[in-house]
Amino acid sequence: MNRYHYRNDDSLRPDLIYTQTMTTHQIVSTAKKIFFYVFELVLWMVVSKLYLNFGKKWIIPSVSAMWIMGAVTTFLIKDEREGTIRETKWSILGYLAFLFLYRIVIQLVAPISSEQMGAALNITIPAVSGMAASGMLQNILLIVSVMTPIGFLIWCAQKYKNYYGKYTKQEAFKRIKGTRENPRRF
Amino acid sequence: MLESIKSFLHTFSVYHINAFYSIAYFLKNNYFFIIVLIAIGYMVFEELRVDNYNYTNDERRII
Repeated sequence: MNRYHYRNDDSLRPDLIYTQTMTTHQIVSTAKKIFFYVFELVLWMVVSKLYLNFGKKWIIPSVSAMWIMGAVTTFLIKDEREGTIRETKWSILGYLAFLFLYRIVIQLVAPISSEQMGAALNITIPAVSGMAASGMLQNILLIVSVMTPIGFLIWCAQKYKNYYGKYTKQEAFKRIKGTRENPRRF
Repeated sequence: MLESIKSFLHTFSVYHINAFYSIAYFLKNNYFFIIVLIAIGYMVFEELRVDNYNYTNDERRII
């Protein structure tokens, strides 16, 4: 086989060399991604410890369910894995951040009595409404902490419905072929 | 000779049974957490894989 050599074209057409080494940008972005998950895991542990029995009985199982559902959906629906992963990690982080911050908010707001609030607003607020307000704060916490994981699980479940529930092209062809190849016998 | 072999086998079995028992005990007690860790690890793996697919090295150009 003849090989044609052109003179002085080394600088013009350098040989392509593919390497397996990672660039600094790749290493940094990989480390960031792994660190994000480690941070989330640590935050999950901290929040579930802060919430004592509620954390043990609800936050740990619900966040576990979110992780597992996200991973299973990623595995089964490969077409949408990027979006599923992004949504899973950010919704869990949002949920945990809400629980972490809302605890501080309740601690700050709950001790304010209705007399103090009435003085601030220059109106008369009955004492019962102060209790109702702190009860409402607790209810908001309960509703958000229960409904966020359930909403996420429903969001994952609708992906299955959209992806597997429809009539695929292969199935349509199979059906048409089947009709053609198995004619009615008289 | 036989005694020393016997004692060696005894020590060997005790150590190994103890080790396997402790591993099994750990897995039994933490199986749920291990499943969750596997799920998280799988998601990290997939994310990095997608990132790697999408990655293009700008330094590597064909003239």
